[in-house]
Amino acid sequence: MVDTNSLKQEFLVESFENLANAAGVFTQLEKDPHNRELLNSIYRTIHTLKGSANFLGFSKLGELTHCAENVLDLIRENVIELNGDLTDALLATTDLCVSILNSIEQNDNEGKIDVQDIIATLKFLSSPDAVSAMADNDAETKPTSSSDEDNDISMAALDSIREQVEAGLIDQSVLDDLMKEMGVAPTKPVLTVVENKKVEIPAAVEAAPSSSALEPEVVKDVVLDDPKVHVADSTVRVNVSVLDKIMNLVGELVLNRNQLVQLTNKLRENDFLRLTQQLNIITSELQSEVMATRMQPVGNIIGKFERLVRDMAKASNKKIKLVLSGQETELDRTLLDAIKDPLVHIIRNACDHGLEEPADREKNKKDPTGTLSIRAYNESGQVTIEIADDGRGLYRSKLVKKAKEKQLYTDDELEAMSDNDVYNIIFHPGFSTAEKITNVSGRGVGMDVVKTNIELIGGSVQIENREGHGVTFKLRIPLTLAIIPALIIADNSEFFAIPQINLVELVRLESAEEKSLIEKIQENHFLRLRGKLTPLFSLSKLLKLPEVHDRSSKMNNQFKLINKKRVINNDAFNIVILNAEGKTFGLMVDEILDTEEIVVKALNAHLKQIGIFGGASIMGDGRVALILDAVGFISKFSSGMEQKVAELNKPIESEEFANTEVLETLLFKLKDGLTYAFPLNLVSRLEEFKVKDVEYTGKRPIMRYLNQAMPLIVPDNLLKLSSTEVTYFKDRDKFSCVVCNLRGINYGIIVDEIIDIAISQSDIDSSAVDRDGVLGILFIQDKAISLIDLYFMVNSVQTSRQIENNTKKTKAKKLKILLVDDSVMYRKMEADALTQIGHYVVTANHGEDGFQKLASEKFDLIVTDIEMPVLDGYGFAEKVRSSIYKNIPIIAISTRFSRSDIEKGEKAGFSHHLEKFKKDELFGLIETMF
Amino acid sequence: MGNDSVSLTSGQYCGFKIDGEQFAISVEDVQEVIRPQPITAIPLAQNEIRGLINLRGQIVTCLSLKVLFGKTDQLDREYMNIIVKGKDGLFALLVDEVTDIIDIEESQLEPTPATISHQLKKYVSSVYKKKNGLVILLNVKNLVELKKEMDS
Repeated sequence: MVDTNSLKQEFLVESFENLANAAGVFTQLEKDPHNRELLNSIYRTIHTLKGSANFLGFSKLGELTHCAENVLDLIRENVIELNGDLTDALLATTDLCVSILNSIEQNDNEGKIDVQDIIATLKFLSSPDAVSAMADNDAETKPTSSSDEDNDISMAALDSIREQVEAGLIDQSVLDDLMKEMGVAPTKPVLTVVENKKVEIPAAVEAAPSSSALEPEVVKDVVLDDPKVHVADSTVRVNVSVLDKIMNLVGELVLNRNQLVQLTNKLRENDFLRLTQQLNIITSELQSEVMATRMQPVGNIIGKFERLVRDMAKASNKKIKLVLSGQETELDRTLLDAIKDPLVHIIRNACDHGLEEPADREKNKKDPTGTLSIRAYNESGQVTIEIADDGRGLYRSKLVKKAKEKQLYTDDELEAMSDNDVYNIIFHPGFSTAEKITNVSGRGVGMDVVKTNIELIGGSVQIENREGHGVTFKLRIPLTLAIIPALIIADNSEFFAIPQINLVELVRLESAEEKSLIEKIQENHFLRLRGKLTPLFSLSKLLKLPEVHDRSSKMNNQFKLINKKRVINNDAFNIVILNAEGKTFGLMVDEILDTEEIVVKALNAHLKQIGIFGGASIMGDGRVALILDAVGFISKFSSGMEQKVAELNKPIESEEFANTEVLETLLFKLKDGLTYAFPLNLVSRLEEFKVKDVEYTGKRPIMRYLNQAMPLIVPDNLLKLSSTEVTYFKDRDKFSCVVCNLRGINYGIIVDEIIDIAISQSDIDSSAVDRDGVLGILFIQDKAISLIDLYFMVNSVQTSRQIENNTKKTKAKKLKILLVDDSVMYRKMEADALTQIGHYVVTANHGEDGFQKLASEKFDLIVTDIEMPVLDGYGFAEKVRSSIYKNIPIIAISTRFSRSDIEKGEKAGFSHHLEKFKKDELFGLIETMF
Repeated sequence: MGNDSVSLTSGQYCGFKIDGEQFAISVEDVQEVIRPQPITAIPLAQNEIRGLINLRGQIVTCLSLKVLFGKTDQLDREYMNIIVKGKDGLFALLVDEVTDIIDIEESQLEPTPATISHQLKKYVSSVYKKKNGLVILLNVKNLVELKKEMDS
C-alpha cells in the first residue's frame, strides 16, 4: 500500500522546488524566447505538477496547470510568442500554484483560492482568435475561428501559419506594422506570430486535435532532443543529518587509518604497507567528497533573483538588466540560507534607490537600461559575492546630511571621516537614504541587518562606490561554517588556533631598537605600531600557562618585559595583531606556526563560560587545539586598557587636541616617595638593570647598554632631595631606569618606581620652582607633580669635554634669535639653552609682542610657539611674511603637530616645525640652516 | 538515561575505583572506556576540568572525579577514561581503575548515608552493599553538570 500522506509530502517538496525554479526560468525565457531548453524545462515542470495534482485529486491545481500547460504548448509550437503580459500571467500562475500548495500543506485541502480569473486571463492571452485573424489578413487564408474552451487550435490556422513561417513570408516587423495598421487596440494584449525557421513544429501537432492529448510523446521527444539532462534527474534528496553522520563516521575512519598507518610502519610488511597506503588515499578522497556533499552552488539562490529584479523593475518603471555569473561557485548550504536575505535586501536597494529611472539615465548619458550584476567567485579561501549596479552611487554629501539629521554623528566627526567611513554609515541602524519610502525598500529594516547577518556567519561587507556611476557591495563569505581558515600559534608548547578573520598582521621585533616600540604603562604593555598605541597581551601570562606561572612568581616586578626572559635573551618577539569588533590588539606568542583549515568543534557550556575560546579543533597529529575567540579575549582582558589607548592615541589623532598644549609625561617616584615627571618625548626606553651589572668610571656609575657606556644618573642627588647621598644600588638587586636619548647619547636615569604615563593639559607653573633641575609644576589629576629638566640632569654629568664639543659645534656662527612663547617656563628653558651655545636671544610673550620686537634688532631667526594669546603663531608668521621681515626664517615649536597643523603652518609661512623639548633637534636644525 | 537523584533503579552498573573507594554509574550512561589519551589543558578552566581529548574526531571534556570530590589529582598515574554523554557533548570521567559490571536489584539499594562527605553528597544517588564493601552509585547528570555547593 502506498502511504498517501508520504506521497503528498513528496509531492509538496518536489512541487515547491520546481515552482521556485520555474519563476526564474520564466524571466530568463522572456529575455530569450527562442531558448528551447528553457521552454522545455518549464513545460516539464508544469506538466509534472498537473499530473501529480490530478493523481492526488487536487482539481483546482489540476485545472490551473492544465491551462498553463496549454499556453506553454502553444508557445512551444510557435503559435504564440511569450511576451511580457503572458510572462506576467504565467508567473502569477506559478504564484497561485504555490499558494494552493501552501494551503494543501497546512490544511490538507486547496482552500478557497480562486483560479478562474487567471485561467480566463491565460485563455484570453493565448486565444487563437487574434492569431488567426492576423494570419488571415496577411496571407489571405480563410480565418478559422475555433475558440473552443479547451484552447484547441485550429489545424488549418496552424498549418497556414506554419507554411508561411517556413516560407519566410511572415516577418516579425511586417507583422508588427500590420497590426498597427489593423488598429489592434493598444489596450489589448498584442500577440505576435513567431518567425522561426529553425525549429520544426513536431508532426504530432498536426495529428492530434488537442495539444493536451499529445503530452507523453512530446515530452519524450524533448528529453531525447535535449543533450543536457535536467538537474532533477541526476540528484537524490538526502537529509542533512544523514550527511552530518556520514561526516562524523569519516572522521573516525580517518583516525583509524592514521593509527593503522603508524602500525604498518612498525611492522615493515610490504603487502600490508601497500594496502594501507591505498586505504590512506581512498580515505582522504572519501573525506573530501563527503565534505563536498554539503556544498551547493550559489546559483540556487542568485538564480531566483531574476524574478525579483524583474518584478522590481516593473513596479518602479525602470529598465533593469540582471547579469549573473559564477552561479556554479559552491557554498555550505547553511551559509547559503544565511546570505539569502541580505542579498535580497541589497538587490532591492540597488533596484529601488541605486538605479535611476530611464529618463534620468538618459539625461546623464547612460544606457536607459540599468545593469545589475551579481558575481560570485572563490577568492583566498572565501567566496566573494559582488552585487554591482551602474546607478547613481552613494553621495558623500547626501549621507553626511542624513547622518546629521538623524544625529548619528557630530559635525566634527563627520568632517573627519574618510569617504569609506561615510559610506559605511549606511550600515548604521535606522539609516535610510531613500527620499521617499516605497513599497519595495526603505521600510525601516536597513543595511545594518545585512551587515549583522553577514558578520554573524563570519563574513564581511565592503562598499566600493563610484559617485554617480554606481556602487558595488562585496560580500565575503567563508566557505563553510564548520571549516575556517586559522592561524596556528604555539605558546609554552600549547597550540592555539586564531581565526583568520580576526587576524590583521603579524609583527616580529628582532633588534633592541624594534623592541623599544613596546611601551609600558602601569602594568600594561603597548606596542607603538605606526604611531598608534596598540595594547599588547602575553598569551601565556594571561592564560596562566604553567611554565610562565612559575617564572612570573619568581620575577615579580614591573620591568619583566612580558614574555619571560625574552628581553634579556634577545630573542625576537612574535606579535599577532588582531582585530575584534573594531578593537585592535596584539598578542605576544612564542611561535607562529602556519595557517590551516580547521574544523570547528563546539565546547560544552562549562568551557564556553570561560569566554575566550570559540571552540576546539583537532590538529593533524590528533591533538586538540583550542580556538581563541578574539572578541571574547579582548572583552575579558582589556579592562581599562582601551580607555587608556583612546586617551593616548587621541592627541595624535584628534585635531581638537593637537591645537591645545598637551604634554605627555612619564610619572615616576623617587626615594622621597613623591611623584615626578619627565616629558615623555625625551624618554626612549624603560629598562630594568641588575645592580651587579653596574660599572664605574671613577666614581660615576655607568651601565653597558646597546654596546655603549651609558652614564647612570640618580636624580635624588642632583635635585638635592635628601641631605645624604641616595643610592639605589644597596638593599636591592635590581633597579628601574628611564633611558633618555639626548644629543645622541643615552642616559640612564634611575628612579624608584615607574608609575604611569599621563597627559597634562594644564599649564606648567614655573613660579613655584624651588630648586634647579625642576622645570615647573604640573597638575595631573589635581595632584601637583614636579616636571624634571632632563637637560639639567644630563648637563650635570656631562664631561667637560662633551660640553666643549657641544659649544664648539655651534661656535661657528652666533645668531640673533627672537624667541616667542607665552609660557614663561618654555621661554626660560629655550632661551637658556640657546644662550648656552652662544646665541643671542630676545624673548617675546606672544605674536604681537614678537612682531614689535622685530624692529628692535636685525634677527637671523625666529623661533615661535603656536598657541599664544593676542596673536598666535600662525597669525604671527603671516604677519612676518607680509612685512619687510619676510626673509627671516621661522621655526615653529609645539608639543604636537598633526599633519593638518603642518599644512596650515606651511601656508602661514613657517620654515620648519619642531617638537618642544627637543633641544638637540633645534640645535641641529639651526646648525644646518646657517 | 540520565537517572534522577531520587530514583533508585535496578540494572547494570559500571564499577570503578577512586582512591580505593568503589563507585558505580549506570551502564546506560557509559559509551565506552578508554585508556589515557594526550590531554590538551584548558587555561582558566575550573580545576576539575583537566582538558580535552580527541575521541575519534569528537572533542571530549575530561573531568577529574578526584578533584570534583575535593581531592588532589596529579594525573601522573595510571587511570582510565569512562566516556559518558552529557547534555552538550561527551565527557571523560577520569578514574583510577574500572572494576566490573555489577547487576543491581532495586531492593539491594540503600539511601545515601548521612556520613558521606559533603563534596561527594550531591553526586550520589544511592548506595549498594556488596560482599566486600560499599559501592557508591553516582548520578552522571549531576557529575557532568558540575553541580557544586548546591546546598551550602
